[in-house]
Formats: sequence, C-alpha cells, structure tokens
Amino acid sequence: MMINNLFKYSQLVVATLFLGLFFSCTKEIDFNQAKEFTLEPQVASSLVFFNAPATKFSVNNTEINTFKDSVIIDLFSRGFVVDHVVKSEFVFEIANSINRSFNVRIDFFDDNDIIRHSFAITTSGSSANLDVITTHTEVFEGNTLNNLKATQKVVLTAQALAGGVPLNDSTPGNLILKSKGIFYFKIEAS
Amino acid sequence: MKRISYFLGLITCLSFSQNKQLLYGFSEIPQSLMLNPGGEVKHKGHFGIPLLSHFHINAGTSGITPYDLFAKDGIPFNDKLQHAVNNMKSTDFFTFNQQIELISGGFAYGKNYEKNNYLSFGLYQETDFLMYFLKDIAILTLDGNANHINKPFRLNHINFRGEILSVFHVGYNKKVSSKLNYGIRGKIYSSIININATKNKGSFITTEGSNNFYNHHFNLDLQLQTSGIHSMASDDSNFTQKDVIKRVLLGGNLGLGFDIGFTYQLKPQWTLDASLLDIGLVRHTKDIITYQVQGNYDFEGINPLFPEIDSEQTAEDYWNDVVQSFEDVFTADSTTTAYTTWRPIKFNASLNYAFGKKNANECNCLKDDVGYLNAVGAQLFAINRPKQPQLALTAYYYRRLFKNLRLKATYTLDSYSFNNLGLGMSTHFGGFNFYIMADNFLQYRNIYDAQSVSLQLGFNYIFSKNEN
Repeated sequence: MMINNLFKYSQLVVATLFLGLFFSCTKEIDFNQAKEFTLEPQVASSLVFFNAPATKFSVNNTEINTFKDSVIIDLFSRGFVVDHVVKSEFVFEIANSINRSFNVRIDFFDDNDIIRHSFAITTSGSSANLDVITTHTEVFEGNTLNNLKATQKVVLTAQALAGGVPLNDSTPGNLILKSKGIFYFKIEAS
Repeated sequence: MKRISYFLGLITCLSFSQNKQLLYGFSEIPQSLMLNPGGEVKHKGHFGIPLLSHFHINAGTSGITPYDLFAKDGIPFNDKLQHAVNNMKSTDFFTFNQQIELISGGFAYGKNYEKNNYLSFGLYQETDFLMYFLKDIAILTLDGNANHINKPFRLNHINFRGEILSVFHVGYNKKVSSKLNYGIRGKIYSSIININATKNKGSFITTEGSNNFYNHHFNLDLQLQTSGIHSMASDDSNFTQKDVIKRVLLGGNLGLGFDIGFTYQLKPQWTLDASLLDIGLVRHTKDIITYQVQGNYDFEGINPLFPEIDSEQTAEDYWNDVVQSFEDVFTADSTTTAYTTWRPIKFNASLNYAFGKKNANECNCLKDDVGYLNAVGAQLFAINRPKQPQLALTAYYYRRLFKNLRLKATYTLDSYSFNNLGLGMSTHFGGFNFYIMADNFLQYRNIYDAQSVSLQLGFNYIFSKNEN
C-alpha cells in the first residue's frame, strides 16, 4: 500500500516536473539535413621541382640536350582520389636565365604504358642571363581528369631546343622549375 | 512503458552538465554524502533501492547545440557547419557523464545516546567522456590547406579522454561537535575501459618553399592510450558479459582514490562546507594498447631529373625514398606499456544561511525538530579537465514544504550558459525517499538548443532519527 502510494506520488511529481516540458520542448528540427553534408576541401601540394645550372646540360664540353626520367606514381589512381577529386590544376613556373630556349614536357602513362595525357611548356632563352619567367596552368576536368586518374607513370623531359649557342661547361644561367597541384575534393555524405 | 520512453526521450534529447549543484548540500538525501563526505547527516541509517538509488546522466556542450546545426531554417547545412566551426574555440568541449548506483547503504554508530559516526558504503558505475573541439582538424577537413598557407594546423586540438569504471567506496562521517562535521571516503576504482589522448603535440603547416612553391612541414607527436578495449575489439575476441561483470567486480585495471569534506557552523544560521572528490588514479596494466605516431618530415615535392645529391640514385629510388619517409612518419607504432590516469578531481564549496523557524503554535506537537524551513546560499563547483578547469557558480534557495517535501531551486553560471535554472525535490513518506532534480529549465523551451542539463533521481529507504 505504502509502495503503491509512493509510486503514485512520484508519478505525479515526475509529471509536474516534466510534462509541460515535453509539450513545448522543441522547435522544428530536421536531422535529415545531415544528408546534405558535403566536404569540399582544396588540397595544395608541391609536385616536381628542379634547379639545373646550364652546365648540367654539358658533359666534357659536349652538349646533352635532353634529360628524361620517369616516376612510377599511383597517387592519382588511388581509390580515394578517384572517387572524390572533381577537378585538379597543376601550376608550373619556369625561370630560365640560360641563353637558350627550353622545352619541358610532361607525359602521363596508364598501367598499359599508353600515353593518356601530355603537355609541354616552352620557355625562351635569356640573352642577358636574367630570369625569364614562364608560367603554365594545366587544368584537369572531365576527360582529362579521368586520364589523370588512370595515370601510373609520369615522364618528365627537359630539352634544350635547337638553335642558339651550344651549351658547354662554362655556360652561365639556370633552368629552375617549380610546380604545385591544387586538388578539389568533393566528399558527399550520401 | 510510456514512462520509460519519456524517460529515454529525456536522456537522448537533453544535454547535461557534470555539476550536481542541486544535490550538493541536500542533507535529507543520503547521496549528498557522495558530494561531501563531511556533510551533515540527519538520519540514523539508509539503504538505497538497488540499481535505483542514484541515477545520474549528463552531456554538455560549451559550443554548438544540435539546434544550431539542424534547425529547419532554410539555411544550407554546410553553411551552418562552417559557421559553427569558425565560431567554436579549441577549448570548447563536449562532455558525457553517467552514474548509476548498484548498491548503497549506511548507518550511524557510536554511544547509544549520541550516535555521531556515520558509515556509508556502496558500489557505483560511472562513465565519463570529454572531448575538446578539434578546431584545426575540422578546418583542415572542411577547407583543405590550399587557402590556409602559413597557417599551422595544431595537433594538440586532438584532445579527448573517456572511461567506464566501477567504484567501491566506504565513507566515514564524524560529527565532532554541534558545529563541525568532517568525513572521508576511500575508493577503489576498477576500470572497465579507458581511452586517453590528451598529450598530442605537433602541427602540420604549408609554407612557401625554398626549392618549390610550397614546403609541407609535418611535426607529429600523437599518442592514444587504451586499456580494456583490445580484448573486446580484436577479431579472435571471446569477450562475454561475464568479463564485464568480472571487471566491475575489481577485475579491471585497479586504482585508488579518496574524497574529503567538512561542514562548519560559523554562526547559528550560517554554515560553510567544502569537499574534494576523486583525488585518485587508476593504474592501467592489463589489456593495454598505446598507439604512437611520431616524427618530423619536410616535403617540397620531388626532384626526379636533377637530384641535389649527385649519386647514382635513379628517379625511382628517389621516389621510393619519399614514400618510405612518409610511411616512417605516419605509421603508428603500438606498444603495451602500462600507464596511469588521474581521475577528474572535483571541488565543491558552499556558504549557507538558514532562516524562518516553524512557529510553535503551528506545531502539531510531534517532536518535529526540523530547524529552519528556508535556506539560501552560494555554491562553487570546479572540475579538473585536461586543458583548463571548468567552473560553476550557483545561488540557491531551499524550502521545506509540509512534512514530506523539500524543494531546492538553483541559478547557475557555468561554461555552458548563464541562464541555468534548476529545480530539485525530495519526498519523504515514512522511510521512503524519492528525489529528482534537473536543471536548465529555461532551455526546455527548445530542448535541442540546450547546452547542458543535469538530471539525478533515486529511491532510498531512510531510518530517520526521530522514528521509534
């Protein structure tokens, strides 16, 4: 009997304390909004660089006009990048203080060694050995982005163009390349 | 069933604060001794109804509330999220705390005519979780680094700790004179689960490089300590409920601690009291895994055509070196070194003024010496947290109504809000005691916008002093 009364009483107490609250306890709220959640970070990363004095293009006073090397790189074809990168820009800056024109070419190969994308940047020679700045932005969107995402190997070629004074062990000046990539991600909740 | 669902609704949609300002000093409720072992004891014995004697839950946010993010206001969710991230600080936090008493009891002893010692004891389970807002990590995730060149993303923003433990305790309360009470409570902790990531350091920053556009500097010193999780989470785990019970019953990682407190009557109507709780530590020696990521690395890009070192290194080797360096820095090492965690120490103090004696001619001639009917006072609460202590200041009014009902109303200023009103009541029918208390009533108008509310309730049987 005692216990019954007690429970009745405490029910009343709980009711008075909280009943009102449950009738007026919320304003309109919509948890489904979380489905709209989208992450759109922009990631900037340094890519390749070099700083080659003109003398690098000469061995025993004989000009070597082409340097070429490849990097096996699976970064662009990783699942996370493939799924979420919606656009990418590669920005290059070449400073040339050698009295000779150069061509820097970048080729993108897939895992069948088939070339998927390619571009080249030409910089003119600097007769006064002052920096001649050439910039280039390569935008990857749509098909070109798909080609980037298929890339397994990148080949970088720096070539002294024909014409002008041959490069030897005492040619002044440098060929400096800097590059960065901006990767635009879009990660959706649903 | 309906009552339970209301109750669950209350727990889910409210957020609560760790402070038990309503229960503190509420000497008719035996559980007030858990907040001050040197509190006044007005009864000669009690036992808690097992599992129902004290239930406490809280979760709090000093920053955003669910309403800030999910209000149906037509503003795009991402804008609200971005706004929230920009406005919150790395010292903003989210907390969750829950306690349930499994057993509790106590009795007075001493000379027959003056039993001025009180021994109380019990076993309760507690969950405590605290996470600071990962501000820089949130910005990096939302924005990326491209628009934050030269901004260090600080890794000490990753700061959280959590534990589930059971606590065995025995408390001794002594009434030295009519003016002074003191008490001490010894505790044995048995940790069921612990995670601790409060010592992270380092940063990630992108600056202008010397050889390339950018230099990316990684300085990582991250540590996550865990105990009690590996045996549950591993694939070949044969962890069962029995193991949980074993850990509750002193089979977990053990620790020791104590509470102390006193109550002193300054003048007939003025009292001062204070307590320190959970001065203690847990030594984690069993079922430990500590993950560590440490290292420094600078990345300016790759230089395949003309490596600076004129070696025989091919571009392939060069690239492999870069990959290896990244892996060395970012791979987590796991160890099983024992570690110690401190319990969050809590401090309570209050100054109280009692007034309004019951008129003698209203007396129903029972020996109902209840003293004053009203009390007002100020309480201070502080809890030690990894970055900085949290503080709360409370003003209260206590009222005894009729023979069976005591009420307490509080107004609290704390890290969560400046408009926290609380209400608590304790009912006494015969020996049965039921109490319930909750705060932040103003925020009930929109529960999703509440930053903190605390709720305690419980049932006891009390042997009162004037009972024959």
